[in-house]
Amino acid sequence: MNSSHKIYHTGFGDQAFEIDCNNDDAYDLAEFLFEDFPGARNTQSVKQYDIISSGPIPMLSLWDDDKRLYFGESRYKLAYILINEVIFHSINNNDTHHALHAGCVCKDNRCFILPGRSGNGKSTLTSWLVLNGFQYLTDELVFLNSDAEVLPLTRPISLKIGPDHPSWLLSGEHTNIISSDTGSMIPHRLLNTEFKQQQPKVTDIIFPLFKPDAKLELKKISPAKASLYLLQSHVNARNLEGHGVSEMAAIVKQCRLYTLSYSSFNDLTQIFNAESELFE
Amino acid sequence: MNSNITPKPNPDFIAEQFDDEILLYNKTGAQAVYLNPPAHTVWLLCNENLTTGEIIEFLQQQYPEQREQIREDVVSALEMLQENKVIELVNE
Repeated sequence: MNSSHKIYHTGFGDQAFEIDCNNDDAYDLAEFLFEDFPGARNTQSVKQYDIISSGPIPMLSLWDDDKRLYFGESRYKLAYILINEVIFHSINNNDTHHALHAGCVCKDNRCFILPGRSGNGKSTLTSWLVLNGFQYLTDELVFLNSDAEVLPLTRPISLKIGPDHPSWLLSGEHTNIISSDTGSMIPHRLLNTEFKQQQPKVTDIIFPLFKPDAKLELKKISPAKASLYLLQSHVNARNLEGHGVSEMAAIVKQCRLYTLSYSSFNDLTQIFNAESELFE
Repeated sequence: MNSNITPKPNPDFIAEQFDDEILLYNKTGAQAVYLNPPAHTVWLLCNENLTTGEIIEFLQQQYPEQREQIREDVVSALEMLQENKVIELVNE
C-alpha cells in the first residue's frame, strides 16, 4: 500500500461515507468536495468509494466496490459523479428528514430556501446571492426536520457553465475551480469568504422562476400553494409517513412564502437588499 | 353538465387543511391538487352524496346575490376535480 493512502470520512443525514484515496491528489479531490459537509449524525450505514489517481498528468478513476463509475482525466466529471452518488445515498433511505431540492442562503437571522427541480437555475441564483453578501449553505439539497431546522448539503457550487460563458459571475482567474466543457464546481468561499457551518431554522421559502422575458415580481403566496409547489421538490416523500405532507404543511405555515419571477441579475438587487420587504 | 349526475369522491385522496384552502394528495404520493376556496366548498359538498343540481341549488340558497355565477363556478370546479381524478361523476 502506498504510504500516502488515506481514507476521507464524511457524511450527511444518517448516511456515512468513506472515500478511500490512493494518494494526496485523490484525497485533495475528496476534501474539495466534502470539506464543509456536516458529517453523519446517527450513522445507520457506511457507503464506500475509491478514488485512484495515477501518473504525472493524473488519470483518475472512481470505484463503487468493483464497479468502475469513472475513468479519465477530468476532475470535474469524477467529482460530479461522486457528489451525485453521495446525494442519492443520503436521500434514498432517509426517513427522518424532508429532503428538498433547494438552494439555501442566510442573512441577518433570516434563512431562505429556494426550491426548484434540477436545471431550473437554483445554483445560479444561489451564486448570485452569495456573491451579494448572503451566506452560502447549499445550492442543491436541504434536509428539514420537523422543527424546520435546515441541514444543508454544503458542497462546492455546481454550475452547468464554464468561465467562458457570458453569465459567469466571477471575475479574474482562479486555480481552484474544477471545470470541464459541461460545467464547473466553485469553492463557495471564492464568492463570499464569510462562512459558518450552521443549521438555522427556515424563515422564508422563495420559489424562483427565471424567464428571459419575465417581469420582476416578488409575490406572496398562500401556505396551500406553497405546499403544492414544495411537494414538487420533495425527493424522499415516499419514505415518510403520509408522504410527509402534514409535517411539511406545519413547517410551511411558519414561513413567509413567495414566488419570484425575474429575467436578469440586475433586477434582483431591487428584491434582495436591506430595504426590501424581505428584511422587514 | 347533467343536474342528475352525482359526484363521488375518490377515497384515495387525503386532505390537508389550510384555513379556507385545501391540498388534496393521494395515498401513493404521486399527485397533489390545490383547491381554492370555491373549489374547496364544492369538494366538501361532493362528500354529502348530493347531485350536481342539488349542489348548485344549495349554494344558490346560501349566496343568492351570486346566483348567476354559481352554476358556472360549480361546473368548472367539478370538471377540474374530475380531470384530476379527485371525484368520479356517476349517472345514477
